[in-house]
Amino acid sequence: MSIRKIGIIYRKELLDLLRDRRTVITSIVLPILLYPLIMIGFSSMLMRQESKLAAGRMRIYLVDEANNADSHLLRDSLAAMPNFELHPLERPDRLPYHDGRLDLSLRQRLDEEFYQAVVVIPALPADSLEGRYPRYTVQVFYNSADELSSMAGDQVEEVLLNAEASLVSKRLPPEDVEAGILEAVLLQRHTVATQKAMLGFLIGRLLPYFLILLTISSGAVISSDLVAGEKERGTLETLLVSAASRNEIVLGKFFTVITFSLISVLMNIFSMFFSIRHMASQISSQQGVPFTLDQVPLLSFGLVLLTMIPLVMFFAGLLLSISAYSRNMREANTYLSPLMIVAMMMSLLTMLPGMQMNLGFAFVPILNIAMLFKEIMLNPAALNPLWVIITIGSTLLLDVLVLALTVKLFNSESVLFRVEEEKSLKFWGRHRRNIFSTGLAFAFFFGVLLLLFYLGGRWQATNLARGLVQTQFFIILLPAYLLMRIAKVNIKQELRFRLPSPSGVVSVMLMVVPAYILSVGMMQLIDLVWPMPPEYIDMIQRAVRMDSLSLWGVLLVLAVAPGFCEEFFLRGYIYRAFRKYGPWPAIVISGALFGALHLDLFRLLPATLMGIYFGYLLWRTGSIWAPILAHILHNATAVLLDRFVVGSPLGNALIHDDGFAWWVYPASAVLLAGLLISFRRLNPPPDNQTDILEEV
Amino acid sequence: MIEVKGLTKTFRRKSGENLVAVDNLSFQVNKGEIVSLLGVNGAGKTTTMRMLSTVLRPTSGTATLEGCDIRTQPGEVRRRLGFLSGDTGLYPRLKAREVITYFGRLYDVPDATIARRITELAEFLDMGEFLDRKVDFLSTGMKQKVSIARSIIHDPPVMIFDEPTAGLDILTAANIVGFIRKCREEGKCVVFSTHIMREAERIADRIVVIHRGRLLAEGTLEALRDDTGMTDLDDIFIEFVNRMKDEGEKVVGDEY
Repeated sequence: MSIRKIGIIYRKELLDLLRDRRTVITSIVLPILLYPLIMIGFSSMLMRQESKLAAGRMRIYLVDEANNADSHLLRDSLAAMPNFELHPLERPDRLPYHDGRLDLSLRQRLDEEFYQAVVVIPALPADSLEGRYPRYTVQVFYNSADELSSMAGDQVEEVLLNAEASLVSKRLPPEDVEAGILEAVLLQRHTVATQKAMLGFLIGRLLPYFLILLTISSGAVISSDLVAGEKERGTLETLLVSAASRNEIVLGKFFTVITFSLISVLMNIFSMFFSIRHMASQISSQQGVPFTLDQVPLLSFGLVLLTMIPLVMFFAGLLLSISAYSRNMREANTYLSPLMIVAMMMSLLTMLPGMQMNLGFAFVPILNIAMLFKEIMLNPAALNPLWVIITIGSTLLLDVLVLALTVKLFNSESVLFRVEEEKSLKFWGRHRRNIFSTGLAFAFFFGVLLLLFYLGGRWQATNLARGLVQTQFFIILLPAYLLMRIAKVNIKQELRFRLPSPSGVVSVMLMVVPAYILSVGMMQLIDLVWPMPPEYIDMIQRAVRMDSLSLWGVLLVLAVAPGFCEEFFLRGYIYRAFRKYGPWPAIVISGALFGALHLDLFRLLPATLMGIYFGYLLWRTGSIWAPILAHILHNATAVLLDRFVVGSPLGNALIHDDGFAWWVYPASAVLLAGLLISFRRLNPPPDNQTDILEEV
Repeated sequence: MIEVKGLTKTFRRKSGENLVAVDNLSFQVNKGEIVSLLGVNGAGKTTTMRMLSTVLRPTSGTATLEGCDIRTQPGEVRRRLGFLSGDTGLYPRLKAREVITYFGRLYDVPDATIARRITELAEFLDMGEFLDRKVDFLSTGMKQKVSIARSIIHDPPVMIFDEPTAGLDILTAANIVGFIRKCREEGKCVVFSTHIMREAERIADRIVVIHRGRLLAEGTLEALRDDTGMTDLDDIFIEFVNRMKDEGEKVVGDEY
């Protein structure tokens, strides 16, 4: 690989893209225009809204129970407000207020926003009448969920406080007391809260959203042009027969996407910075509030730019892979939109109130960087260095993975020269036998997933044990079985229902316990990173116990049924459908789908790993009975351990309140590794014949 | 020199059937010789060309170009190879000169040499007036000339033309034919594929007839005429196809 060639390709692509008006507009012109427009729109709308509210007419319902000179003073001061419309008591003989509570009908009228506030001046208690100076506890009811009403509440309070002052001065003739005695401190509050909140909102919440969205959209435009566009224009083959190697081509294009995305990010950040600064100076000149740039930290913008780089690389690799896979630009754009939606959702999550960076988020791609942006902008002091390292590190790791994927796609002729194949939904027709196509397998899996979600959940809610068995048989096993029967597939042969070697069976049985222990360890690790709510743990434990059933019943429901049905579906049908891509893709995909089948984020990762382990057993033994056996025994171990070992002397030595003693894990890992090595030696993969990669 | 030895390419379709696009193909092209790969659409011509240009990997068999193996030394093969097909494959937003220079650089040709060769080629191909215009604004004939210049900028010893005249008008096609002959004069080893019998008849020193991925016949036009006792290449071709059917051999793959 020569860096010079990468440079030649890179420079040519830059030149080519700069001549394309679309690219220049989306990555350079758009950001320059967008932010000032957003700022102007935002601030003018906010100001209009505020002045509209302040001038709005407010209906105030007044319940004057006291009905004396003092209360009249209060009433008159309320009536003096030009925007108040005072509604006196409708029926003086019936008070809508009892013991500190409003009548329902009146509360409703507040809810319906007919009245903006209800003011109650209660009658004085009989005993207080004797004093010369009665004290009124005035109640103000308003609807804080409604902006106009809460503003009415504020204004009423202000008016009443002023009225109180005049009442006090009436009671105390000025020659007796100086005002300073009663009011030692005069407080004048000045708030810039709305503007500040707006600024915080803009840079803290909108920034990650806009940055991620604009990076990915500008990257998408470029990358779909770079490979799918070349396919469409027929230039890709010319490039491939030139002396440049595939790796040089990929890297040249990769750096092009990164450069353009970074230019786009830079333009975005600069434009945002200057428009915020402009807005800040406008606010201070308009309202005389000192508003310095300290609130718009330049350093934070710089840091955001730095953290952007790994994310930009991630997107660049991902987008290029999609582009390489697509036949033309239209197709590339179709595939890109779900990716953009996911990225958008991830960054939108940061806008939710109360979302804060934590250890768990640091592991979630895209979201971690978005959260990091927010923290850098709003609260850089509270940033945990560990989170930063995990966020950046995991994203860099992903960068390497997607880049490797792109290179792999570029070296795969079946991808680069992918042609349209006859596709039809009538798979019973000409291609009757081919129910193992990738598309059908995915569609079928998601169908099962939907059934599980809607139907399975309902069945299990009515009766857990029966629901579980029904789910296994009717949702997981039966559809796959019927599909293959209707297509007249030789199930026994295609799904490898043949006896495993005795050594295979022995290894599987020996590996059950260490594999189980490691899966428990995995759950604990997950709990450490994404703490599970106690209700969740409780639910899982109750599911394992099922006190109403006998031991054999529990084993049937929790071990035998899932072991057979799930393996039939995943290591049977799904594995077979993906086998054409080679054993490892089939193992990993069927494992990941197994993880997804649990419909449980906490168990996604451990279940996926278990699925991969089961798939490996299938590949090496060439018999589906091996993973079925392993799965049944795995689940049975969970049940038996809970029934017999927990609480026993042995259990007390091994099991602490939330897992095994720490030394059990490394011991199991060593044991399992040793067993796997001997298993691997004893069970060579049976037939390499079927490992032909799909071409065309 | 090109030596093709038992070249085979099998595609596997999603439906599971195998399609043998090129089946155990062997032939040879010498220095200063033009060999035509003749066959109907879907005979396996493009797949063969793509394997020779290392864009596709053979399922089995191999070929050497100037002694470099397409399986083990793809980079070396591409360096010695000029490739031209009917669809020009130029970057529309670049100027003609930029396209040619770009590919020249990818072949490690020094910039000074590139500039000199562009001047030479512009004269030979009569493209001086549009050398600095964007490809997007060029006519098909002009684009084809730019493509020719692009394919030969590194002065390769081997030229591969995949249906180079497909979809071109007579004048432009004549340009290509002239260019192919010039390549032979310069001592290059030339292989071109076509489904037009007349073209093979006019230009080729030797003809390799392929059908459904298999070699049907190989030789000079005279030799093929002697073999079949026919004069017209169309008739000769049909005769060979019929012979293959008579042999009753099972042909793998499907109609295309």
